[in-house]
Amino acid sequence: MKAPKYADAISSEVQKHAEVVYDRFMDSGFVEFDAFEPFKAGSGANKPKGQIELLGENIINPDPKATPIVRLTIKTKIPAESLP
Amino acid sequence: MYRHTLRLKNQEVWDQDDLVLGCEVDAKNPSRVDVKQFDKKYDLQAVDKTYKPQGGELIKAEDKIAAADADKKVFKAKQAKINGVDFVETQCVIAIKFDERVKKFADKIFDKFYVAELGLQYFDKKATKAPYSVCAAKQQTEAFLPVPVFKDEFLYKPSAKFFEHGYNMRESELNEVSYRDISWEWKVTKETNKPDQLRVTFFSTFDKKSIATKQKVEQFIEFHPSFDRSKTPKREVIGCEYDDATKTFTPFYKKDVASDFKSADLATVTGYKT
Repeated sequence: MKAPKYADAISSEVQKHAEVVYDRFMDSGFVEFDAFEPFKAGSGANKPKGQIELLGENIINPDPKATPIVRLTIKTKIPAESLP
Repeated sequence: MYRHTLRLKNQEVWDQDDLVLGCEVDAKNPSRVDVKQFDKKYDLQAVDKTYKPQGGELIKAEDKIAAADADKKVFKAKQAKINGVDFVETQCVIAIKFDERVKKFADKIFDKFYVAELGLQYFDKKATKAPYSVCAAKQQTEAFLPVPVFKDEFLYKPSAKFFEHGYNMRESELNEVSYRDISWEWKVTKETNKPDQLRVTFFSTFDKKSIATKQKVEQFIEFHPSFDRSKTPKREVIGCEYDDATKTFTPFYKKDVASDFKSADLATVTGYKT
């Protein structure tokens, strides 16, 4: 039976992630764009816009020896109809 | 294949080092997320680029700092209906691990302000060119890349986000102080059209007779700038001096202030009649 060993490993892993601190360093940069005619501003005035959002996070690990990470997250919503 | 594009244009022209990144998300296979780092001259708006970068379009491997996030399972394009309209939603994460190799670039890349250009490209696997490409933001989104810090540093940092702290001061307990018959108030507000700028307004009430010699009054706020993530951040001061003799206000700004005004004894302030 290796269950106890795995249980310790899982517990340790959960604990590790639970203590990670995310320091949001950048306000969300949210922009809309004309998804149907991307290079012709204003041509798709009555059509749904695409959206892109940029977030920035600084991951601070509890382990002083671990490598810290800067994370940039990009979220996008594109009207399906606008895609080729 | 969706490629989110991000150009971070370094705003410090004397040390220009732009980052041009592409983070790709597959419509079906979440394990196919990838981050490419292009040469700074690479045109993210060009629609004639092939999905596979050509020679010289990517930076050298030893100069690459961005990579896909270790947690790939959540990054998959999906369909979503919003207000009756079908959208494709995608999300990607660009991770910069602050390891020993990346530290070599730190002075050029981190603690810097950038203008971010966000974009999107869609590649059909069968197409040789990018049939769909947008550059959605130009000169609209500002980004700041901080030097990553460890948790112990994070806990004692005095003021990592000046703008946020400054803004909150208006509603916190620190918007008014008094000493004997002098009271000070200040208000910190954000310019709605300039999110990286603050307006600091000072108010004071005092009896001029209580000021013995100099008919000048200074009001100021100390802060630690957000970009200084060192263990010994230097203070900066924004203030305004009022000269009662000439009835003029003179704003001032001081950098690298070593003294700690807050710990000073107000009773030792020169010119005050006791």
